[in-house]
Amino acid sequence: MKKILCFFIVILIFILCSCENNVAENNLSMLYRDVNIQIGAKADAVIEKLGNDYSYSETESCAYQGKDKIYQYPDIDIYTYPKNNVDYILSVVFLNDTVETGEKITIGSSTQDIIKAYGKDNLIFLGAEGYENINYEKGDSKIRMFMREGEIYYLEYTLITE
Amino acid sequence: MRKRIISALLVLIILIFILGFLQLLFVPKYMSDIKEGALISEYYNNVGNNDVIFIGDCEVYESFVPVVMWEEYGITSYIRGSAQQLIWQSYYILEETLKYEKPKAVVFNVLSMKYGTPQNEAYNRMTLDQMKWSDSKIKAIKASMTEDENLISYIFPIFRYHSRWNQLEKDDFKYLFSRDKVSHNGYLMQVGEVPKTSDREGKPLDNYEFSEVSYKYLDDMRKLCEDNDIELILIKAPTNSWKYYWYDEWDKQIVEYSEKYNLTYYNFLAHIDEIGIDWNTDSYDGGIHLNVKGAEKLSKFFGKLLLEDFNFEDRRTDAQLVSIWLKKSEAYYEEKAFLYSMEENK
Repeated sequence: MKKILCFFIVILIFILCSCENNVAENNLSMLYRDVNIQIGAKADAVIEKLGNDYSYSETESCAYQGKDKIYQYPDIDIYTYPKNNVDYILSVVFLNDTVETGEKITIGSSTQDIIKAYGKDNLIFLGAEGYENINYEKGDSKIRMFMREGEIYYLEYTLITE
Repeated sequence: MRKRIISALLVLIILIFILGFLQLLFVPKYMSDIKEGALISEYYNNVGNNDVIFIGDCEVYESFVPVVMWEEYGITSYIRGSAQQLIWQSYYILEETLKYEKPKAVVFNVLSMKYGTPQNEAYNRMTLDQMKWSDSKIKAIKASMTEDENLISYIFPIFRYHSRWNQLEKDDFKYLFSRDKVSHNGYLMQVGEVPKTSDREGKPLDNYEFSEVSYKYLDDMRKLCEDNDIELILIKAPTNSWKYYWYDEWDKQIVEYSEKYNLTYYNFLAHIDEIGIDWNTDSYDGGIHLNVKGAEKLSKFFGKLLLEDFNFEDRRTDAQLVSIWLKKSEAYYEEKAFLYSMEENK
């Protein structure tokens, strides 16, 4: 009798336990308008500091699992994703060459510039020719640099999602 | 001794009853909100006599209206769709469906080929918790679980939902033992109108190749249909947005696959004008999904293709089917009128 009761009490305690997930804090970050934008960080404070001169769009997830949002500033797009009713920074996409990574890499930088800035051993080379898409990873984040004729045409800081 | 055993058994029965009741109470009901979560289980009250079975993600249950396909062409159909239905879930849902009936055609929306790994527990739950227990369900759960999930929480959902004790709402009590119908043969009606204003494309991808896992389940689906003498039709719904973007590189792979195995593939993105879709009026969320106006247009277009390309029989001469579908039509137009009246009063 006591054993049965103990068994069920253990089950109930197990049932009533819960846990929370934390966003990694060792992710890449960049500066824009002197505001530090860290990938995977909460978005609200960053957007507030950056100012209101953005255009905004949002996309509802299927079955209302929150909204993905885009804040489009003159030089960057900031994508956010929702988790437990809080928006986090998913990615930052460079729109022109007036913004740079911490290592002075921007739209138009060459493959050699990237290797010099990050070191060949720290980079991941993707694509059929090996130099069409170059990634640099840190924590749960990465910089994706897509190359055309030896120069970056698309640069994005993003969370590693898979 | 005997008395002790009886007492122990009584306590055990009472505890099991209490846990069972709490489980019924705590599981989400998907009635007033997130109705998508109730779609999969509704099929069990509608099994049999379907010429066409749709399987796939939101792009099937928001894009096709079985009532319209019946009224226009006499084609019977059911949509076994669910939110972010992954391809292995589609395969196991198809496997399960074939235990109930053998349709002439299975229509699969190919957007889920993009996912090669388990994605999101909330979506898993909307599909898997609603399936009846079978070996197909167990295999679907095992293939779908994310790192934080475990099989025991699917067998005993109270392990997952106990934390809802302080979020219980009226619906949790109202739908404790029975649920309302939310769909029309799997079609989830939306009447809102939000124009599509952005043509933003999807972000470039590191790799456009579909995963081996995706191809494996597509192969399995194809073979299952072949073994049962069922036509497998691949489709891509006409909706496209930056978040759920259909890349040309993906389309090329599906074209190649369908040519290799002699399957029919309709990419409706290439037929927007023929279908007559107007992005100002035919979407309820800015072009991500069709609303009822868009879905009715696509259903008419697709039903005609089925008649012309696959010689589907017009079954409106079957008195029993006519009677069944008359009731379905009445329910469909009743809800449509109700939702439009609600929309006008917003």
